[in-house]
Amino acid sequence: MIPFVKLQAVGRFGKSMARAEPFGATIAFHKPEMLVMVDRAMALQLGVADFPAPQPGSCATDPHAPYEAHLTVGRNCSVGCSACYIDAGQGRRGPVDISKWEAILERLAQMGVFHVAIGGGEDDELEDLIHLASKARQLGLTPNLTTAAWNVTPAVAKRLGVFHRVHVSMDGLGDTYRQMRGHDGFARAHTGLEILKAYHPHVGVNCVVGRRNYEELEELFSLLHGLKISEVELLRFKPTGRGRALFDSMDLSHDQYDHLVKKVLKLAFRYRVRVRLDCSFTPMVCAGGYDPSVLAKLGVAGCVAGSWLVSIDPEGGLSGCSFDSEPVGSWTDLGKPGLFAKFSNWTNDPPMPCGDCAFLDICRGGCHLVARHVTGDFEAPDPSCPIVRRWSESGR
Amino acid sequence: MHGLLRKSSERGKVLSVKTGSNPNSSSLGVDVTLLLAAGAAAGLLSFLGGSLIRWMRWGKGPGDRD
Repeated sequence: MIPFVKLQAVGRFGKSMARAEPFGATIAFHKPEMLVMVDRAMALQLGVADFPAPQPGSCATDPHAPYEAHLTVGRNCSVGCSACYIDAGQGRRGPVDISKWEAILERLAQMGVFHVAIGGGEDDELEDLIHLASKARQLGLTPNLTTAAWNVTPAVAKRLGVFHRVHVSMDGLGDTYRQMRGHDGFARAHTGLEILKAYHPHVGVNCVVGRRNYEELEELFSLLHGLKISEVELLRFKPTGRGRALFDSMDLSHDQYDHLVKKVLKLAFRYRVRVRLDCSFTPMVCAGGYDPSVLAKLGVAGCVAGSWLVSIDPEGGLSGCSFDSEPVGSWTDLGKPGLFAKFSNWTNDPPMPCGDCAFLDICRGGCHLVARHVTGDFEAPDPSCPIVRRWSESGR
Repeated sequence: MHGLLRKSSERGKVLSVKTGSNPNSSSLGVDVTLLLAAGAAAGLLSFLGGSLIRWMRWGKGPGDRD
């Protein structure tokens, strides 16, 4: 059992929760929404005393339990995106096992997980997702959702209020959307986004960035600005599920990787949209010339699969990351030590140039699943990291 | 005044601050907008987080989450 201390903030900041960690404590705030990691001295002042021992081989900044869990509850989907990472499709309906997912949520709450992101095929029963989100709330977990938004009506949008945040998958406008997702669904997604914005307080967009939509990102930011959508999460194209066959044509070019961070920061400033970059883009952030200590303070993290996050698939398989199609066990194994050693031990003996890199403990080698797909070696450094490429090109 | 003058090692420090929550069910997203003013943003967030924490008082004490 993770030791918790309930904290009472003054005024409008409301209740918060401190969770004991090997390094000290993590404090979850709801207003403003953030996780704050503090050292043992500060944790002691909050009444957190029973610091758990670090997992063998883990980094100094690794928490005792994941901060968030990704739950894929089903694979039934009529949207049919060409690069779907869970290979969802029509006719894959199996009843969502509500009692199993409730048990999973209870286990995650016991472990001290803060956030759960719930997803699946678009045709998985909305009632089931809402029910599970309600259950998560009861357990003190914060549920979030990403959807294609094809079936969102005002009535549905109101009911999705049980989720803290709802993001709509939108990889571009018009024909760019079609090129990225393989179907002409932009108008439906756009309508769904407008309805959600009208009824839900925290709405954003998820956008997979690939070679085909990189140049069109400004159009998307402009649209979001016009709709008063304040947050976008940009995701790297992954070689998983149906995306595996498309990866070579979708993966960003070296030049695009080199300029991505500056480009999106410029767009964020121009259109007043907050940008989140997914963990696999961390090598590109690190290569941007920032001070490693600043990145660490801002919570920038590369491959934290199995430590900061875990993933559970529709069959109950447990992975460190949703893009790893090789589960390490079942959800019933949650909390067992050493399950994710292939991820957590990577920084103990990293290959060059990562071994000499000032960003090693932040980046952790970038996306190992991309590395495995491109080089055939899970242990290899992320082949698209600008620092790795410069090192390779220098002939060392 | 004594509290203000205590050594930072006694008061402890904020290690990192992760703003927002990740809606995505496939990977972990981090808000990079603050990199527009990287150093200042990191300092400001640490100050804000530390201030909030020092402002808090005990609730019900150790126990289950609700």
